[in-house]
Amino acid sequence: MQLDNSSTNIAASLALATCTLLGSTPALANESVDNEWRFDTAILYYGETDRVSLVEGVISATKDFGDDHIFNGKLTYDGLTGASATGAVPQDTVQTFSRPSGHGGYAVAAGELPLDDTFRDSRVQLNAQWTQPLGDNLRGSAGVHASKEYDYLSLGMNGSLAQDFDQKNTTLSLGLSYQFDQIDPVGGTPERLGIMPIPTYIGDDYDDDHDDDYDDDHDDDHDNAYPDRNGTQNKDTVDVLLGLTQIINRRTIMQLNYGVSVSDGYLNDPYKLVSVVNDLGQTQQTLFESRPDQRTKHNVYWQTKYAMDSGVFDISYRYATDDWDITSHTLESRLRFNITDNSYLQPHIRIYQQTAAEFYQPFILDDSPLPTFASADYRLGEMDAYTVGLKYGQQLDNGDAWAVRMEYYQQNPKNAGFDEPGQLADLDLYPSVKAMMVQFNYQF
Amino acid sequence: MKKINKLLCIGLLASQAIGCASLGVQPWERDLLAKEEMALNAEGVDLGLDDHIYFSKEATSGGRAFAGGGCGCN
Amino acid sequence: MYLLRSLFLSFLVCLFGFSFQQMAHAKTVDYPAPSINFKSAFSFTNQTTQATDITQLSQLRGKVVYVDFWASWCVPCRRSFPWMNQMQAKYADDLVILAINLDQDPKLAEAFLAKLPANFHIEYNPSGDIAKAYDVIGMPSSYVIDKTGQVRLTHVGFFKAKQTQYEQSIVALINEVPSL
Repeated sequence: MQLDNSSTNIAASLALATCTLLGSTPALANESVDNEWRFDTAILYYGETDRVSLVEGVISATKDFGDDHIFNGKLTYDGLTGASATGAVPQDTVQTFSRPSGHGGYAVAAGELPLDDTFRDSRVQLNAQWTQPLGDNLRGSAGVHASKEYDYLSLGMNGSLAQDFDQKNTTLSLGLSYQFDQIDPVGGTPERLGIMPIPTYIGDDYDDDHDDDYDDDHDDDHDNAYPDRNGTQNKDTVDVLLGLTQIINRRTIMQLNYGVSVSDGYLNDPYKLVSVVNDLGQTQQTLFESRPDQRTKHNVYWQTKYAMDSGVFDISYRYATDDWDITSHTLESRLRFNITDNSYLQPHIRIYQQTAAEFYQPFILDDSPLPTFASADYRLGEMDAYTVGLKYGQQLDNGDAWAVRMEYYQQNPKNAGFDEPGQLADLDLYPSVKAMMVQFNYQF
Repeated sequence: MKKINKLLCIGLLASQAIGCASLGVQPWERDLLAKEEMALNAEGVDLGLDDHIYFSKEATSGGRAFAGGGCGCN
Repeated sequence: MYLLRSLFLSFLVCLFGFSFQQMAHAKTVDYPAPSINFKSAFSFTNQTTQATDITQLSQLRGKVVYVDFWASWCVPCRRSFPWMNQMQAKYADDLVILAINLDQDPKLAEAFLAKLPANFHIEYNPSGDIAKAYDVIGMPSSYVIDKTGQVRLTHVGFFKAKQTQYEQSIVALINEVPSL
């Protein structure tokens, strides 16, 4: 029986191309024609107050090679500079820390949260994805990615199948991805809960090779600094994603995904620290963090889109839980108002909440036994976060489109019930992180 | 929050169960769903950038797409 | 982890094995649809303009009729229009192409036609009742009706790779001598 694929389209196929699982969203309303490249480009600036700033550029190119055989290639570049929280606690006196390379150190003023300001990295990522019909109501997609930054390499591949039922009103999809990550930390891989050496020379800012810390010619240096450290570490990640897409009525489409992700290998952040404090809250030692070497995550994602007469309402909710005891809820919504036939305004809101990992602790008490696992990375602690944003977009007469968006993102880490001894009670162990994002898109 | 979650799940299941018979549209009634902005992955570049940021700043990733981040930022 | 890795690999193997099977399936020639009686199938009147003098489909007996259901938002439909123009021109004497538009707002169809002019008959059916009578299951859907009014062939979707097949099926019906 020859009932061929009906109104499949770039948008739906791209869904697979971007590793999203979905099927039956029908045709693209734009003027896309076979054998023409379509480019989506964007540049994003992300800046945190006093911390990290990031510039990220994306070029995504898509082409239908005929009859819905679609290729998508994507190039991402990002440059990161600035300081990030190390996990060590603030003190009411000046603190000194070694740089990750082991060469020199840095001082943190009294009352300040220790930030390592050497982070300076650039990353290049390449994605390629091929999507095509495999039968009357079946689509397949396969892709690869590679990402490289100074101390990190990530390689991955994925495959998905999407099967339509009930005149394409229902789509079931199954996706699998495998990712191999390799980290080669600056200064070598620190030992789990190993003691960070205190730099010998104490001064205000006394880097001997601060600027070289993340430079490419640096490999030999860090080997010398910590000759006994391990080098490269690996991590394997397998993801399985099951999706159900259902068209509810002429205006409503709903998606429900269930995903499992299993990571195995080196899951530490080699630059993160944990302070060991006494009952006065004074730091006695600074250790490198230790996370388990396996993590299994489950999540459920639900999304609904509703077509209004003059816009689109989009709402999604995600529940995630893992065997590190982190549970999170994410609620996100976008509301697109079409101002004219070819311009729109789109407010965006996102609310996020997570519980702490079972091994998260803001510091270790020196009179308690050393745990096997400990991390003071606030990203594994209890936290609320929200994002508010606004986007304006316009379609040009020649078919090109541009858009600009601004977003404000705030993270509010919380104390997950830890008593704060001595001076720590008077210090802010959980400062908020505030960030602005500005993004410009151009599509041609 | 757990309660909300439970309610959401029940609501979703119930609506799916009740609506099953009448869900969906005729093939020629897809005009609104066919709009580019109605695709579940509309604004894919934005979503990708957001995923990258939240992956590196929060403990949870994935859901909409695969959870892997492909960067050493977490 | 090895288990997961091998699971993943076997999935990939399955995926490609499956795809070959499916592609082979896609190459088979269009099948003849169960015949529907021409008159009882439908008998619509020409509601709108577009240079056509057909009032009843039954008027077209003796010719091969290619009924195509389309809409302005449907991407494969866009691919099919140049081909249908070509077919109508090539078999002008024996073939009537009847493209039935299913847009709820005929203005969108007109905008589409301004960009992709059609030199065949366009019929507007915003209510979709004709599509319902034909049991359309995807967009576009095409029905090739023989000279006696029997639907002999149907295909959903439009693929450039299959244009020759579509044409052959039309030619086969043109060459038939009705036994009625």
